[in-house]
Amino acid sequence: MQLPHLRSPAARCALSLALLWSGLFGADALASDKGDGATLVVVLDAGDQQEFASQRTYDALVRELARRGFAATPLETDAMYERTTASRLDAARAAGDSSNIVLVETQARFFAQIAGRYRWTVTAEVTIAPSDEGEPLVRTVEVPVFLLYDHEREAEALAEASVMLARKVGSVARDYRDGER
Amino acid sequence: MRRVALGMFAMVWSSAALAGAPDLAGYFRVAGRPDFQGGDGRLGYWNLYGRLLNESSWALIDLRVPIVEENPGTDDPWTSVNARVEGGSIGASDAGNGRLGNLRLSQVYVKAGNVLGPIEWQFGTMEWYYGDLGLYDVRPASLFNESVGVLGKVDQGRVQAVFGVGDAGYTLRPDAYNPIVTPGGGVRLRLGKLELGAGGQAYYEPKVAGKRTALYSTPDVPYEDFVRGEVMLRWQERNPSLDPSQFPDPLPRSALSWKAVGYLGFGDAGPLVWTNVFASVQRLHPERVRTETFGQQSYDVYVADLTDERTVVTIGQQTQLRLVPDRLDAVWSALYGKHSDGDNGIAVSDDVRWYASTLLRTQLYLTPTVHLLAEGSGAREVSVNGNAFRDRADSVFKSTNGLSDTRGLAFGDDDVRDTWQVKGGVVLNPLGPGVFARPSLRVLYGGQWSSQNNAFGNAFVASLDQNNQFGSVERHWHHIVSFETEVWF
Repeated sequence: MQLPHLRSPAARCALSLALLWSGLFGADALASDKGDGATLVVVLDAGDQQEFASQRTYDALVRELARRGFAATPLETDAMYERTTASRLDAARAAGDSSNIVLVETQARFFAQIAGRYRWTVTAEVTIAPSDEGEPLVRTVEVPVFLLYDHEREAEALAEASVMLARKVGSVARDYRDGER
Repeated sequence: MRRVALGMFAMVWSSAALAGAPDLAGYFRVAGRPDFQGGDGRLGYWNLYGRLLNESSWALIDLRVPIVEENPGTDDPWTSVNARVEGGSIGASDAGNGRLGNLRLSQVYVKAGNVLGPIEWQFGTMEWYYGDLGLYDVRPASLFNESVGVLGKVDQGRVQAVFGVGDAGYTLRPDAYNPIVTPGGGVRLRLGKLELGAGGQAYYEPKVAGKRTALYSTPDVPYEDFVRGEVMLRWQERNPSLDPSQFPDPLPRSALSWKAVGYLGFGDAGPLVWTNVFASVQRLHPERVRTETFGQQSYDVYVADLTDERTVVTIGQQTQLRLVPDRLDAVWSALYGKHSDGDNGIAVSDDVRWYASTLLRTQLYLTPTVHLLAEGSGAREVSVNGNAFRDRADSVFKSTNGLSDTRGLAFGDDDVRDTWQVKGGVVLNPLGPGVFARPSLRVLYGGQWSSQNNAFGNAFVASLDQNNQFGSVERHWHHIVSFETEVWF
């Protein structure tokens, strides 16, 4: 088949680039609906305050969990302002309706000014558990983060850590799926 | 020195058994840049044209051991130690070939909090800055870079203050220590999306009569004799009946130099992510001694009075723009510097010049991990005291008013160097979009046009001698291809 308006080399190149672009960017979006359900909660413990993660962090985690076979649904509930993992897990179990809970409790600590940047370390305790009373899988992961500006603090550090954090949480999810608890 | 370094590392690692987990940070920049035009692998002379392709290898490891972990939200005392090793050489990528002698233990400090009020104390090295011009790798608004001592920091949300006092003697006088006390401080106000900051630092070197490595000045030395290295020769001409041993004794001096810095930051509005503007004015600390040879004897000329009027003004800005979210980012930066020397009205020098530069980097994200980078820069450097640059292969060397003069205090045939650079290529960023996201794996082309002949590090024979076997080459364009990576962790 030959489309008359694609006879010119420029038009063919443009169509090829568009197809390549859509193929490269579309892959993750297709996968997010697949897999077991999981209620996803990400909490940032910043001093004596608790915050939920940014949309950027949730998006990265949802994409990565989809890659690992979990259809994750972010959950934000006031119960997450509890301080202990057990109470947060209980709150997620009560509020979510998925068959699994993915609880990511994060802290960001300043490391040093290094060569013009602000080095932070984001530490996350990842707990994945069945929504019934089954045994959870708990792992601690760390992500180094370099921020550009002094006014960027814990929340920005967590946002900047999103991609690496998602990949590490994904590895935990893979182990959980493989039955390693 | 090595024993001290090893001892500190041993101390760090032995205490680690009682502490939280040690945390390691680092930075590496390594490139392969085969240069077919005879250069050393850098596109231009220095990072005034942007750090990209103008800087060579760098390796940095920073170790942090939390001896007592900070417990956020409590007033429990905490303490940690940081130690940093860094240097400009990596095996196979530069002339240093990664030899450890090119590295140094540049930072060691212990921090402690909740031990005396709301102040975070830092004892040891004291480097602190308001921010960074990342595209230039320049930090004009920095304090205490040269000092070791005590730094206190208070951060109360809207107001951040830093104050300290240290000793910069070993940094400014590495081979001839004399104490140089550096009190100073700064404040930063955070007013929502606007930040203001100001600070300053003094350098006081006391007069220490009788100490060989203290600050002195040889009296009655004309600046021209000093800059020509002819102080003894001219003194002997003026005093033919005197013996060189009767050359005037140096007089002890004290010195007070200073640095003032300012900062303005704003952003988070539309496509503007953030703009940082930095300014600094610094009166450089006087130098100590120059050694001259006269009649096959070496003589020390103490130069405190001849080098105590040097001032450096630096102003720079960097603006980060998110033009199309997750598709196209840009960073625009500019830098201006003016170096003046009240003592020197006659000789070409790096202390008497000004420069201005601007550069723009754009990064297009074809996919989250495959990007296209494009950067362009333009810069002008002006020598205030006359010609400083050779524009042609047959330009004069030492000169006066553009004419060859073996006793001239100028150099070459131009007092201006204009430099234009373009850089571009493919960037692989495993961690996704971001101009400053690292690691970056890059294949880049760089092109430079400079008004100066062969304006890049090279090993050409720059001679008009008829016995020059290699000849002289005139070249204003310089091209390089770079296979490089840069990583923070």
